[in-house]
Amino acid sequence: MRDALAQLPIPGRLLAALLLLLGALMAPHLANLSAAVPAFFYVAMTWRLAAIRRPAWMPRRWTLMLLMIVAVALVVVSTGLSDGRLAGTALLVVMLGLKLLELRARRDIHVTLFLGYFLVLTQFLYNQSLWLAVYLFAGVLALIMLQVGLNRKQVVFRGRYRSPSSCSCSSRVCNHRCGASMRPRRRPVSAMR
Amino acid sequence: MAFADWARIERVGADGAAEIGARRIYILPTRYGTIFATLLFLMLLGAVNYGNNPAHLLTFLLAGLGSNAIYLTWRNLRGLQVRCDGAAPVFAGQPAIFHVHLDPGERARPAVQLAFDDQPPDLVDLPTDQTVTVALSIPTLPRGLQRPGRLVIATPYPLGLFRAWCYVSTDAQVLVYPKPGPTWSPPSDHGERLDGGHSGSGNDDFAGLRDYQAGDPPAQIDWKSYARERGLNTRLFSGQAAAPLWLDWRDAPGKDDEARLSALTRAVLDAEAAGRHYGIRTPVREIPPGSGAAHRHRCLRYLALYGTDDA
Repeated sequence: MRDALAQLPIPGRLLAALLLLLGALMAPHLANLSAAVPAFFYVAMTWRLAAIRRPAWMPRRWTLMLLMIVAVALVVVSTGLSDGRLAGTALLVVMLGLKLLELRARRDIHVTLFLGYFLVLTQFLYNQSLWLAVYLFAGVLALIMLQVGLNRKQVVFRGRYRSPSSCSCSSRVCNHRCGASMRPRRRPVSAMR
Repeated sequence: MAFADWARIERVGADGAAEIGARRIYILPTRYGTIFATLLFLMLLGAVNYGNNPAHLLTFLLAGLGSNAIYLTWRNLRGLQVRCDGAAPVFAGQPAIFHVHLDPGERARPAVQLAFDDQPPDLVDLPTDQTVTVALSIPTLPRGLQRPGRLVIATPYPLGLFRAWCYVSTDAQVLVYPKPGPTWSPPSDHGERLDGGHSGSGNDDFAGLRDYQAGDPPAQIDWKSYARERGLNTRLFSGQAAAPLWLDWRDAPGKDDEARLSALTRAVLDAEAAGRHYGIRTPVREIPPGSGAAHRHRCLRYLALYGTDDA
């Protein structure tokens, strides 16, 4: 039997939340890597965020190839490949950025979530302070909640459940939510049960 | 031999409903689950390699999450009540629509996916204590009394790392009438009418009114007298009683049995639409003339089941 979830369109609000979360989880790396590498990721993240509302802004295949070459060159130049840990982290960061730019189907979000977990792990290789750990584990919890939200038909955000005005998703998902608000009111189900 | 042939199957109880039992649920990792396991292994390698405690913690947390997903995914199906209604009769070639009622009980069950064997699946989020009805269609079936096959209910919720599924057998049925063939007119039509001694066409001579009886075609109800509050009356026509239209197996065009059944199906539909009094004659059996929805169903049912044990 085919997977019906995979046929659904990308949930726009969930993707936006994931992008912002990855941006927040990337922030400590500004201290660890040379600034150009996280900057590459943030540009890609902003680009993808804008493309949620305007799908035409998604980069084409050749643009992606070009960006890939730029990304690899960036890793080589900024780290010199002398330190394996540093080069590996930089590669993960730029590849995560590229993954965001080619994120077109629901299954790509799963892979992005997994890369997000790995990103958290690389943070610990540079800094093991308690407060950073608290910050990052809160981020992991949020990643898990997004993963749960991704595996429902209808993504429900607590508190925003009945406001169709703040709608940044594709029309089909909106219809689902508006349809839901017509039904008798029930307790909004958060992504994490 | 396919796996599903010897799988454990949840069967319906006496009330027509099946409750998915704990031991009837299968569960396997999805593609994402496999990727996740590989990722965990790499994370463990990294953590061990650098002797990094928070990295260990993160890896073990995610591993615990993964193993809990087995239980949580299984629990999302366990205890779900399923009831499948039979579908309304259709003609061969038309999709048959079965209504499946899902009662989640006191737990919300998001992302429940259901389908008959190889059909495209349907996906629903089931809220707490609210029965949800899903219409599943099966595209084409041959004529006769058909069963939709096994119902497969699956879910990836909550993490998508595992897919739990189970097979539910239903006793739902659908009656599939033969596919209507091209239009033809029974040659016995004129002969019968002459025998009856009427010169006009069978339906035209108004003979009077009688009280409405269940099954009379709406076209023959005298709405004017109903509007005058004299109750429901059915208009009778003299041609009708005298000259029933016999749809005879031997007259039906077609080379084989199926073609004849199709032709007779078309004739029944035409006769009913024209408001005629009609009956069916086959070498095996005869259906006395009548009209109305119930009679139409009776004739079509006979044609649908012709040559099968159910007839």
